[in-house]
Amino acid sequence: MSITFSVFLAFIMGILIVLAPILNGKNAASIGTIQTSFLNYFSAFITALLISSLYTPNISSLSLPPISTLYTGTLIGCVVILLLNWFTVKIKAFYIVVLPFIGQMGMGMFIDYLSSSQFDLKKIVGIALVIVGLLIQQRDKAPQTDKIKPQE
Amino acid sequence: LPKFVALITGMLLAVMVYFNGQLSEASSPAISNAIFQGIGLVVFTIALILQKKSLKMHYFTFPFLIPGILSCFTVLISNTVVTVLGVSTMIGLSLFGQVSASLIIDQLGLLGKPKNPVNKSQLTGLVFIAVGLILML
Repeated sequence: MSITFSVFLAFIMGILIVLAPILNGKNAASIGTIQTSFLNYFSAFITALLISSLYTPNISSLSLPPISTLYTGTLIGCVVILLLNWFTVKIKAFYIVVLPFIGQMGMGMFIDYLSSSQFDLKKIVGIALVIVGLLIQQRDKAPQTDKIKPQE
Repeated sequence: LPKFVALITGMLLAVMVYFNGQLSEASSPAISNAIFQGIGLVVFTIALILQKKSLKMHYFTFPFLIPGILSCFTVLISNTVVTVLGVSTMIGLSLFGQVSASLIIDQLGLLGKPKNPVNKSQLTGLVFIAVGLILML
């Protein structure tokens, strides 16, 4: 996939990340948090199955990778939801957005470094600017909590 | 402690995105997405049973199912794009999308949110993020 298209998709992903929690938040207020999370994963799973079947028409030829560290991500996903639910009610909206993001960028930089073993100064300056931009952007936001949640 | 946990959660998210990308390379972005959503579904089915919550028929209608469809595409895109852009660049770009979308929603008062016109410092912040991203690419 071309870099330009990937950049576009990553931007679209950001929009989806904002929309889903707003809609889920409304639903949670009317039918409950656990029910909403269940329905979220229910329709996500059905959609994911449909998309998978389009990609892999011959489902019998499908081979799943063996249970290994590769599945760590899915387990972390579940832990993250529990942690999010725990700290979002305890800290200010400003920190809800900024702290996880700093954690993500710091760790992301570290992982990129491990997989490429290159220490790119331009990238570090870029990340610093992004974080400064986020701090400025969030600083004097109205107290309403329109949460920007990272990956669910 | 909650602040520290918030920071750790972000770090976990980056690790999650990385491992999901690895799983995508070993299978495919679509399959990796289905596994991710399937495990989430199992976890919340167990949560429903443990908390003795019931589901009603009208839950299985459009307004309740749309967010899941959006989440599904979020993970699918992440799985596809992370191997091309790397973890930090992808997260940065998605942040730019998040901030832009929030500003538009606030400015126009969409989705039932109160109108909250965009101010100067929010735009300045957005410009900083954009310049940072251009350096990262």
